[in-house]
Amino acid sequence: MLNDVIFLIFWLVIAVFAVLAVFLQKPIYNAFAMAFSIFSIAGMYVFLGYEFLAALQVLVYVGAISVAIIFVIMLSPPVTVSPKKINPYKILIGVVTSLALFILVFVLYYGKFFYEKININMPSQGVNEIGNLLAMPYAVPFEIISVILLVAIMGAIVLAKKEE
Amino acid sequence: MSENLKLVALAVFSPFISLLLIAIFTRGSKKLSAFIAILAILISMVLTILLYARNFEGVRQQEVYYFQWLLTDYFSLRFGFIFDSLSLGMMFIVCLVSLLVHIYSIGYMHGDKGLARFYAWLSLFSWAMLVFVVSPTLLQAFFGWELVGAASFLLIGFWFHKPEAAAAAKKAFVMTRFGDFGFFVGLLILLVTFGNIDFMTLNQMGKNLAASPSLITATSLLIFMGIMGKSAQFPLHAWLPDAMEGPTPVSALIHAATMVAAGIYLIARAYGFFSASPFTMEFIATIGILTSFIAATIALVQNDVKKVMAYSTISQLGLMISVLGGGGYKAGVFHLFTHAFFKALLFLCAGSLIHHFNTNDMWEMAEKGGVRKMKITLTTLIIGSLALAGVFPFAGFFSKDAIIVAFEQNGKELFAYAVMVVSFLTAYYTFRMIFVLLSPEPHHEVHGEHEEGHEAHHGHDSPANMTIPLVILAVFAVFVGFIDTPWLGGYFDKFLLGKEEVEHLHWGVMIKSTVVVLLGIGFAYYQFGGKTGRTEGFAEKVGWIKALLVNKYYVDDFYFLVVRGLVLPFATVLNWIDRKVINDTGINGSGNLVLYSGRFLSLLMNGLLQRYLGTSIAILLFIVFLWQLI
Amino acid sequence: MASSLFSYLLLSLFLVCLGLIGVLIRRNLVIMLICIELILNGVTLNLLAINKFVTGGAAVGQVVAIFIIALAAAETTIALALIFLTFRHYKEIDSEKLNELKG
Repeated sequence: MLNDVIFLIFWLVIAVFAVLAVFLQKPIYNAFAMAFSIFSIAGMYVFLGYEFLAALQVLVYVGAISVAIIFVIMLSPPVTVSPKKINPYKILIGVVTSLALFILVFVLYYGKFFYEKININMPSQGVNEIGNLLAMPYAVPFEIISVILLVAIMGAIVLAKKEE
Repeated sequence: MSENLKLVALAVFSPFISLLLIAIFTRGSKKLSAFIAILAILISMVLTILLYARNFEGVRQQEVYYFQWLLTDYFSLRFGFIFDSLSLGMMFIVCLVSLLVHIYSIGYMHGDKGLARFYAWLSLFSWAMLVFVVSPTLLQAFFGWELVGAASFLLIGFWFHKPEAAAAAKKAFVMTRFGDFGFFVGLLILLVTFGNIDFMTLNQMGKNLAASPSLITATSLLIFMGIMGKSAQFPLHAWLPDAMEGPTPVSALIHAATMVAAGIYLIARAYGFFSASPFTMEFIATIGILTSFIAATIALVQNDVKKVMAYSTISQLGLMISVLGGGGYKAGVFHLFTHAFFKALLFLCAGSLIHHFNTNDMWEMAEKGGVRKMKITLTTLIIGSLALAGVFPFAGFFSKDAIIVAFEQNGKELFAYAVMVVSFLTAYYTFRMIFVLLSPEPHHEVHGEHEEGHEAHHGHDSPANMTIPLVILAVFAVFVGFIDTPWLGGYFDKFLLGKEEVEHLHWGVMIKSTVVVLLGIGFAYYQFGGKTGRTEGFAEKVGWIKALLVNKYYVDDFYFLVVRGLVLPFATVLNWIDRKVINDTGINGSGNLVLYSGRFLSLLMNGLLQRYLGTSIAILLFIVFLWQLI
Repeated sequence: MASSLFSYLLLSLFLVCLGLIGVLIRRNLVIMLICIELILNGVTLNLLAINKFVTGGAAVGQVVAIFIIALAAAETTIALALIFLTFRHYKEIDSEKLNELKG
């Protein structure tokens, strides 16, 4: 019971802050809302038994990505939108597309899962297993991911360099 | 390939090489072009004489050579050469007249700016005609037929900057094209039904059970339509008088001796085929004799020497066609040969006169005077006229009698009688021309000046390169007739048909025809000879007859009406369709469609990133949605 | 409710659709980026929920989620560098003003 209540709280927090992250007008607010929402998603991961992943999520998303985004927001100018220049078609397309996606997926797929339940308290596999998998057999993707991260870092530095 | 056929191949292709050389290399040089052309036709002539010497008694066994051009499941396209007496005779005539015309043109066309082009077209024509007369299949004959028509067009319209010449060339081509349409349809039917058959098979068609009589009649009539066009039979004859706009050597070569004779040759070549349909033969005979009569009457009132000759040609062709239709194979071919000689002679004489007097009109020539001083021209002219009229012992006499005899032998006495009438008219209009030209000169002062001008140039008569061909042709005109007589052992029969028995002379016919002809000449003398000063013959006395004849039986007016009333409106409609519907709507329209849709679509390219993204996701979802539905 | 798959899936779908709306509507490039991150997270949540319910929390699903997170990080780095560059060049990060591809 308590489980469910806390789950619901987390659920609502995530949803509300996601909405805030999308619709607030000041970019800083959006960034913070996003950070908080993602933090809560990490909590959701704990519910599912993924402790390591939750820690990873907090470290990477909240610790690195959100910080980077906030830095860029601080360095960029505000984008002002006067109400009369809002393009109705854009909003229409956006809303329609999202709604279509929602309804499509919901009706075709998710409706079927309404009744499935399992024992949530069964523990997920832990760091040991993840480590084993990363060493073998997923060693190659692991290395490649490292290279990608390296390339991303170098690319970012090269791109953002001051021109001489 | 036998020796004979090798010579045939060389003779046929020699003018073609000349054409190529002139067209590619020597267009700039008049003398060189003339030289090449004359050399080429001379080679052909020599080869033909060689062939004739080797096959003096006629070719007994027909020799054919084919080479395969195209082979499909449905038919084989073969081209080749045929060699037999008929081809040999035609080759001889074509080469001889062509050679003489080539030489004659040096003098007649002297100084003309397009001389190289003239000789090129002459070579083209010679080649085309030779190809035609050695064609073993109807299809190849059609190719030669068309080529000859093209050469005729080019030569009639040689002085293309003269609007009358251009119009005449167009008229000739269009009219013969109309006939050729019939030819082509008939040819197509035969091709589809029997494949690319050769003349031998074609001639066996009457005995071939696969060919129904109605098929034979239909196709032979269609092919005869082409012949009507090419050989100027009524009602497709109107182009020939207009074709006199071309240079006189052209008229001599093409419109007297060879091209117009192509139709006759074709009937002779495919004689078995035509004979297989009695209706077609009747039709041919009737059209022929009708044409002959009509043309002869029109010739009575012509004032232009070339026009007289033109109508005379139509008339004589009519006789040839008619007798072929009546069953007289030998008579038709014989008259074809003799006519080639004396008609070419007459045209070249007329050309000589025209060249000298600078006018075509016989009355003007008589006015200017000096005709009697042109001895060679005058003599050969008279010889030719006697041959045309058919006076013993000239060539025309024998061939005309052969025609009459053939009609009588085939039970067509009415036709024989008609031929007599036509020969009366022929004699009359021919000698009308002669007597008008010979009338005593009225104005001495005027003619004095002219004499100075022309005599300083040529002397009394035309230059030698013009008179020598006249003499050569005159010799033929005098003596060629005898080959059909017992005195030469019935040579022509032996040559052409391989007949060993000698036909006796038909004295009755000979006497009757001589009487008729002398009556014609006498009447002409009575009307025009000496100092009568008359300008109108008996035909022009009666008002309605005169109107009918002078307007050429209103045939040209009829054509003009048809063209104006039917063809031009139809053409206007088609033109409108072509411009408005096909061009504006179709071509421009599809272009505009692309243009406008491009402009419309470029509105989508607004550079707005989010719109792109949104649209692509929306479409993707839509596709997934549809996919799920299926 | 914590033990039903449906709630997790609903949440992730919600996140994805929200992120989609955001990407299509917001004019500020950085906020677009934020929304993209939301989408990615939604998808990761989806994956992990199904992983739990089908395989009882196997490590394989977690490894995949690790990769997704790492890739998201790399991608965000580059995207931010590009936004920075855009700003330097055009002095604008408003997507409606950046329409040089027009026409």
